[in-house]
Amino acid sequence: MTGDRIDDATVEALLTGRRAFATEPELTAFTAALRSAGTRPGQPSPRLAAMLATGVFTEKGDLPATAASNVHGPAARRQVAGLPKWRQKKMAIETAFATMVGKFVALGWAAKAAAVSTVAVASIGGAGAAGALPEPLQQPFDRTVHSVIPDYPAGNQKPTTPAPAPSVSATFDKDGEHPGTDGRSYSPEDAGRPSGSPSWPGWSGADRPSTAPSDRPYTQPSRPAAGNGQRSTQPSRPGTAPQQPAQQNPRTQAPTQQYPTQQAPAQQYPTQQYPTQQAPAGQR
Amino acid sequence: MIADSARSTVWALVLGEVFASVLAAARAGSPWAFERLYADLAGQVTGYLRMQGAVEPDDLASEVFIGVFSGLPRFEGDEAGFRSWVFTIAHRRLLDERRRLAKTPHLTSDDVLESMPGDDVESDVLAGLEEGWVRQVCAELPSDQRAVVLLRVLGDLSTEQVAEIMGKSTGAVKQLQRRAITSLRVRLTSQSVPPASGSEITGAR
Repeated sequence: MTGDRIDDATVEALLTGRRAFATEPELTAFTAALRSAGTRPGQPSPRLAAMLATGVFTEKGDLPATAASNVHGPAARRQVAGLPKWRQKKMAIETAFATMVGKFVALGWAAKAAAVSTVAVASIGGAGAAGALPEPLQQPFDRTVHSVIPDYPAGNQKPTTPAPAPSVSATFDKDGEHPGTDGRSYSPEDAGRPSGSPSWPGWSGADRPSTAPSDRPYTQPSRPAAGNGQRSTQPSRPGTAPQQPAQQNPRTQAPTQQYPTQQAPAQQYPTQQYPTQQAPAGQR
Repeated sequence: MIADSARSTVWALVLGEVFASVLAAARAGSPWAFERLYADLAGQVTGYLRMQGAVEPDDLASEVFIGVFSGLPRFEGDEAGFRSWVFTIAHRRLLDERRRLAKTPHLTSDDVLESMPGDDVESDVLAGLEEGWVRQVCAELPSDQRAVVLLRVLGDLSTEQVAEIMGKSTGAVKQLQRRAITSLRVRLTSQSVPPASGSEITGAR
């Protein structure tokens, strides 16, 4: 049969494997061997294996976690484990919550009732101790607790912790930073800012906390005595001690300046300690 | 005996009626669905790329399936259409690799053949694999004829599907497969053992 022309039906049967031909044993064996060669899958790449394991694909074929590679900063530090940290935290929280819910659901009826009762008692007890219960409930709560604990004050008689008075102390720590009255730290870099401009975020110049009368000169608060890195232990009283001797910064030897409170608030702290704009360059 | 072997290796639509549910699950991101689709077609796709002389058939097949799974939302069709779509992606990735290698030569054809099992008869016998022989025989076919034969046999695709994948007419595909079968018959009947070396995968470079 070799050398004869093969008709389309024979070709189709050989290629589809629907029928074997005794007259074409070589071709039949070849197509069979070819099919068997296609039964051996290759080794999936690590990327494909990870995708097969997670089942998460995006339009570009990447895991959503790869979006973290677009964040600023070194990628090697930010995406070591493959998932961004916010995603890991979110997954941890979700897992913990799901675990709690699952455990609660798996509990028996008695255990569920006990758990709910425990939570309810703890909530009411906490609210009663804080005096936050409604009056019809607070009074019986106080009586009950008072019968057990004689020294326990009633809910409406509990001493309240006085709010700390706002301090305007201008103490400087050893790093040269000023903690500020609003909890923020003001670094010496603020000294180089132009006068009258906001020296830190949110500063408008008008909301500067000051206890000094507007018609009295404002004295710079105290600073480290010798500039040796020790924290000042005596907070100053801005605006109330104009006679207090001014202390000089040993680094700059710049004289202490006095400003009216309403005139140049932005230069009060840093400018005098690090008078970038005023001190000669050789003294820096 | 050959007839029984041939019948037993005929591809079939392995998923059948559950294909729609498997596809829907894969679109939803179920790992088991991805595993099912990959297990059904990975061997054939990898075999197609290997027989076509891909430098790294496993890696290329992985890229193919990454493209398949990421493009599932855009696919519409049945299992036969899905098979054709997968082999379309595989064929295009193969062409891309050939273009890339043509610009930056990675290995010579001799290097490729030397790396293949079945480079000599002894290794074939020792390994007991017929894959080397099959690959050697396929390597002697022209690129178009080889692609048609492989897509029809390994992909179990129809003439129309192969024509669509290769961008040719149905008549041209029938002509190619007829020539390929004729060449194979001449080759197989005249030489019962595979050649030791000297073959070159045409179109691979």
